[in-house]
Amino acid sequence: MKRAFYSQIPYPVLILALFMVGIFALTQGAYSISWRDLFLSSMNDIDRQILMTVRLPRLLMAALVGAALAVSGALMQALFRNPLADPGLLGVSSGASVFVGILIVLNPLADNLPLWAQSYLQSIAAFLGAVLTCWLIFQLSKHKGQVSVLHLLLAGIAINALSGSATGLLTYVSNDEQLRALTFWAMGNLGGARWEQVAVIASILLPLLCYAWRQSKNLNLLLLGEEEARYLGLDVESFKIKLIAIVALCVGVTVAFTGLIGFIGLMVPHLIRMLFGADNRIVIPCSALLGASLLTGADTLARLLVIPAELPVGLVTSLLGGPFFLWLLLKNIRETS
Amino acid sequence: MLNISELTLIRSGKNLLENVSLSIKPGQLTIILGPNGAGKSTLLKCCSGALQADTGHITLDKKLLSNWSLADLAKKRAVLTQQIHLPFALTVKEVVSLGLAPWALSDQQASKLIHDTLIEVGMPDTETRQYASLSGGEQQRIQLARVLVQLFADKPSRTKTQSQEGKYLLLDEPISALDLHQQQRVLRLLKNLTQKGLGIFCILHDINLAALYGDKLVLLEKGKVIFNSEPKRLAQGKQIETTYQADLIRLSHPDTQLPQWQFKQ
Repeated sequence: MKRAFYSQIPYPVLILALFMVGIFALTQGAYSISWRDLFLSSMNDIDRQILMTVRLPRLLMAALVGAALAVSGALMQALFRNPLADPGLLGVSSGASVFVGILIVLNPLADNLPLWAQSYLQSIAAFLGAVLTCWLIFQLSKHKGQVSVLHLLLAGIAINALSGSATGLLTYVSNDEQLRALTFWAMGNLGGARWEQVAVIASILLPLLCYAWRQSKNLNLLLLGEEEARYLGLDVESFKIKLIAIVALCVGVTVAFTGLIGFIGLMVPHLIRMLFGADNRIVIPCSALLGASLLTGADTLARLLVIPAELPVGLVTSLLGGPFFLWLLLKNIRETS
Repeated sequence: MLNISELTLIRSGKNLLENVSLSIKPGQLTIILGPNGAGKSTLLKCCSGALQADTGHITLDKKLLSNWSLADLAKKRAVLTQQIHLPFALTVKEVVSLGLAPWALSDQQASKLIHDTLIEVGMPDTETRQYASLSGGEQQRIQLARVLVQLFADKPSRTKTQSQEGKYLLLDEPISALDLHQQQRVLRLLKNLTQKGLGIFCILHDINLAALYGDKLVLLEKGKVIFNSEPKRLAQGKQIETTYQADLIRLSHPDTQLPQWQFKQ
C-alpha cells in the first residue's frame, strides 16, 4: 500500500481539518453567524447567546464523542487483531442501549433525581451494558486460547439479535412519550447538549483517551499476537481486561448521552491506517482527531440538511458508513483477485 | 543456565512431555529434534514461560522461571514462534522495532540497531517495505531480526567481541521457510552468537543441519528425551533411524566426520 507525502505530517493536517470543521459547525445552521464576526469577536448578543448556549457545547460534545468512538474502534481492532472489529458491529453499543432502554422505560428511580444525577445514572447503566456485552463477546469468541474471528462475528450477530428483541420488547411496553424518547435516542442525537453534560462527558472521556494514547506501544505488541506480546514483557491478560474496560466505558458514556452512532469506530481508524500507517502510536491520537472532525461534520450536516428541523446524527453517519463499508469490500475483492 | 528438570505435562490424558530434563548452557547451540508431535514446541512453550508444566521445574539463572517478572524475562530471553501473521499493514521497521519494547532506546540508536540487524539476517535496506508484501522466508528473517534486537538492545553499538553471556534465544523452526543460502546464513549467524556467550534453544527438522551446527542435540519422541549429547555420539547408536522410523543410511560428513543421513531411496 502506498502512502502519500503527507503521511509524514499527520498532526498538522488533522488539526487543521478539525479547526475548519469546528468553524463550520459554529457558524452554520438555521441561524448563521458570520465567521468574520466570530474571529473578530464582533458578534451581537443573539449571536453570542446562540454560540455559547447551543453551538459550542454541541460542538464539544460531538468532538468528544467522535474521538471516543473512533479510539474505541481502534482499541477493539487491536484487541481482536482484526480491522473489522467495531463496538457497533460486535453488539457492544446495542448491549449498552438495552440497559439504557430499560432505564428509560421502566424508569424505576430516575424521576426524582436532579438532571446531572440522571445523566450519570444513564451512563452507569450504559456502561454496565457495555461491560457485560464486551465480556460476553470475549468469552464466546475465545477458541483454543485465541480469539477466533468467526466466533467473534457470530457472537456479535447473536448479541445484536438479542438486544434487538429486548429493545423491541421495551418499545412494546412503553407509553407514547417513552416510545418517542426511545426511538429518537436509538438513532443517535447530539441536540440539546448542555454544558453540564459536556462537563460530565469530558471528565470521563478525556482521561480515557489520554490513557489509550499512553498504551499505544503495548497495543502495537498485541498486533504480533498474544503469545508474542507476552514474550516481549506485556502482561497480556490484565492488559486485555483494561482495554475492554476502556472500550466499555467510552461506548457506555457515548451511548448514554447521544444514543447509537454507528460506523465512526470502523471508518476512522481504517482511514488513518490507509493514510498514515498501522503504528498505534499514530493511529490512536490521529483517530481521536479525525473522529472528532468526522462526527462534528456529520452533526453539522444533520442540522443543515432539513432546516429548520434536524436529522438524527446516527442516520448521517450510517449514510456515510454504509457506502464506505461497500467500497472497502469492493477494494478488498479487487486486491485479492 | 536454563535448567529443565523432570518436566511432565499431561493434557487430556496424553503425556505431552514426560520426565524431560535438560539444560541450555550459555555459549551452546542446543538443537531439539523429533518427529511431528513429539513435544518440541510444547517444550519450547514451557521454557519460554507460556505453558506451566504439571510436575518438575524450570530455572533460569538458578531462579524459578515462574518467579521472573515478564519485564525482566523479556530482557533476558527472546522467543521466536512459528509463522506470525500480522493483520495490519506494518512496515519492516515497525515490525522489527516491536522487539525494542522492553527497552528505552533513542530513535537514533533504534534505527542504527535495526539497520545493522537487518543486514545480519540478509534483509538490508528493507526498513520501509511493507511486511505483508514479503515472501514467507523473508518474513521469517524479519521476525528473527525482531528477536535479535530484543536481546541486543542494551548493547546497541555492539562490536564483534562484545559478550552476550547470560542471554537466551528460543527458536521454533527458524529456517523452515528459507532457501539453502539463507539457511546457511542463519545457522552461521546463530553459531556466531553462541561464541559471544548466547545460549540458544532451537527446534529444527533437518537432522543433517542439526548434526553439522549443533553443539548438543536433544532427540524427543512422544514427549521423552531419547538422546541428549553431542552430534558425533549419534554415529554410534540407531536412535535417529528408530525414532523417525524411516529407511535411512548413515554417512559421514567429508569435512567434519559428523554423522549425516540419506534416504535409502
